[in-house]
Amino acid sequence: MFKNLSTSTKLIILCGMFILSISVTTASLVAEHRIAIDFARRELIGDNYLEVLRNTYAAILSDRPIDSITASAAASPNNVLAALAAEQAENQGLLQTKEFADALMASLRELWARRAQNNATDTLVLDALNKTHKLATRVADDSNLTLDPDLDTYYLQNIVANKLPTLLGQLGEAHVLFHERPQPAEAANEQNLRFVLDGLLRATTDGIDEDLTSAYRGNQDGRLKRAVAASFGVMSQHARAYLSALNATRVDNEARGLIVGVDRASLDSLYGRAVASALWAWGGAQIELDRLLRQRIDSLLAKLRRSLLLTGALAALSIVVAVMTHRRIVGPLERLEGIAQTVRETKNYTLRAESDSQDEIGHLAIVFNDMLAELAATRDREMTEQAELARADRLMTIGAMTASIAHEINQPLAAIVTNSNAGLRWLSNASPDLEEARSALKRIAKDGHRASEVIGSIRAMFRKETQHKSLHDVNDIVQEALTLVQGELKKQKVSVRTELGNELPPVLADRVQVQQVVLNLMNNAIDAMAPVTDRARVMRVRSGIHHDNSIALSVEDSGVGIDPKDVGRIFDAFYTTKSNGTGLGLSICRTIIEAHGGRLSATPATPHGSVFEVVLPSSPPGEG
Amino acid sequence: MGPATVFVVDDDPSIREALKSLFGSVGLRAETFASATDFLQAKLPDSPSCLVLDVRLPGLSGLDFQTELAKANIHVPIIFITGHGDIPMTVRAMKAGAVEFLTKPFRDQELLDAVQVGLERDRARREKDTLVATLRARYETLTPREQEVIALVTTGLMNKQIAAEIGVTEITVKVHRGNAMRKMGAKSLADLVKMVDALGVRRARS
Repeated sequence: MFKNLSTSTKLIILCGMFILSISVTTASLVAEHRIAIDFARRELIGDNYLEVLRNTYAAILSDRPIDSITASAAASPNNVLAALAAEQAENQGLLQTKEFADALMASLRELWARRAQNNATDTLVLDALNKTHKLATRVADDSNLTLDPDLDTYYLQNIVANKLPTLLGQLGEAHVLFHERPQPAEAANEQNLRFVLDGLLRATTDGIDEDLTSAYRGNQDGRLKRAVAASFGVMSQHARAYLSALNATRVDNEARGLIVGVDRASLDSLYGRAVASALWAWGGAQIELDRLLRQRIDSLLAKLRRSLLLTGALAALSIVVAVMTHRRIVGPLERLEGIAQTVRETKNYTLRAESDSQDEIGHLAIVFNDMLAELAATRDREMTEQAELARADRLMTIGAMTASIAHEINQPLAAIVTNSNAGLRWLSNASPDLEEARSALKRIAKDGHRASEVIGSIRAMFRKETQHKSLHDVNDIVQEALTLVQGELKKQKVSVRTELGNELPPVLADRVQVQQVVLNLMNNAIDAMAPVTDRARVMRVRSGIHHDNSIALSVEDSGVGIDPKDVGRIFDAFYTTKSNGTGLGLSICRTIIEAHGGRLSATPATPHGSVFEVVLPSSPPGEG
Repeated sequence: MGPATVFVVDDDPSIREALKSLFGSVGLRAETFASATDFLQAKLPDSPSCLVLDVRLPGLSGLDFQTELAKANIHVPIIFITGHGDIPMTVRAMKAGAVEFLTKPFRDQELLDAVQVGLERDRARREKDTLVATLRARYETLTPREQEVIALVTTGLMNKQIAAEIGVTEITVKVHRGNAMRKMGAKSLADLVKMVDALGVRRARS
């Protein structure tokens, strides 16, 4: 199943699976990030709510002599109520704060109303402070602020949602207890109360300091400390100043006067500064908390974007790799297939696959090329062997023919010689037997005729009537003959120079016969050069237009040359200069060429060797 | 024994006729055959003869025919003639006992000399064969005891030793020996030893 799929399909599947797997991973990553972002956004909502609550504190505590810092528009009673209502409406489903918010708003309305009538508001203030603190705690709980995962934001929210409301509440209580009208009944406990309050305030400010230290530690860029350290420093300084002033007061029971030791105005002023600096620090912390949460959201979003970008890039890269693999594997394979196909069809074994890579495909191409080279070599060898066989076959024909001719002629010759000897003996006997001598002579005549008939029949073999003529290019015949003598040329270390004419007109000839002539001339040339050791053995084969519409074909050797006294006889039958020659080759050659209406001649070559030239009439166009 | 005969085996009738005439001109009887088979089928005369054989024959070659003849125990001397001889062929023929190996066209005297050598060789062989046959016939007339005695005599034992060997008296040995010598026609002990050698019955001395 899988093995039958095309490589492209396999690559697509592989690529698709890869993209799918990174998509799944990315999806879960996105989901996680979304959760973290939603978590942080929810915290941001809580943070916004707490900002409103800071204003609420400011509003609650603003009827006291407080620095104008806190008297912002946001802290005006109506705005605070409206903001609380809006905040509550907005986060109805998100935060379970309705109960506390409603209670707070009711309490606030009553407080505003009471204030408007200039009635005493101490209890209401404490009640409102208490409800605001509860609401702040609920908001922090429901908006995940108390579950915040980072050190800096966690401690910062703890300060904003817990410690600062506590501090402001305690400051409010202190003010209620010690500024205006300490109850006589309570005067007895006054000292105790002061201790308690002093302890609580200290614990709270110390708690804030500890939280701050932890938050600073968790803040990596250090911006938090730079942003809030000063305001919190001022806050604790003012809180301590107020605390020491408070400790210096003492209620004079007798006088029923309020405060002894510290004048009222400066105590109020210290209180106002403490509250204002606490609210100021709160504001700073609030801004930082907001900034840190947004920063976290931004960084999460950036991370998410990076992940998505990376996923996209990986997917794109995998596609690119797949496409490149496809081009590197399928492309070359298809090219290889094409080449194999072409080689199979055209038998052109010189084709080669391009290989520019070092991978398996490159190796395959190299091996493929090697195989082609080997095939070509094998084929060449086979063709050479075939040519060799054909050559052997043809040479065998000539050899067998000459041997047979030699035997055919030798027999009557032997008979003639024997008969003449017998005749002589019959005549030279003591009583000469003329009859026997006569019959011997008769036999001699008969055998002489027989020998002549043999020669005649050889000539008849190459007469025009027995030839199968057709049009041939002389150069083709030369090339074929050269292939046939290739082995001999190599063996005898003979080099060949061919000067073949272009576009020669064809000759009307018996191909096999003319080829045998050319072969014979080439073999003679090779034989003639065998004794040569002091110069190069070169065989020159030329072809060209002679004149009178005839084609000249010559075979020249750099051999020993022909003795001038032999020149006239080399074409005679049974005349040979070779120790193992039959003396028939050139004779047959001349017979063949003359039967084609041509000429075969020999001339000495310069400086060495000889030239045999065949002139054959070319066929006028349209003939044959 | 009839007159000497030269057998000629050659497929070429011209050669056969020419050779027959040549042999005739020197007074030799010649019989010609076109093939080896023809020669084998002919009844060969009991007279000195030799064979002029063409190497190149239709069917069986001359050289193979030579081998065949040797196998058939026909010991006729052979002179080879050939149109185209080479050294290996010559060596093979001469090793197998050919008298001569001549290349056509050959000098008549060489052929005639070779034929004379062949005939002489055959004549000698035939004479030897005849002598042995006579001796064998005489030997067959001896009694087993006489054969035994001369076998021992020719190994060089003295009468006394022979008597001890075969368990008879010395006198008896002398009688057997005398009879055997007479029957074989041996004039002396040396003569008898030669005869026994030719017959090949001499006993190895144990």
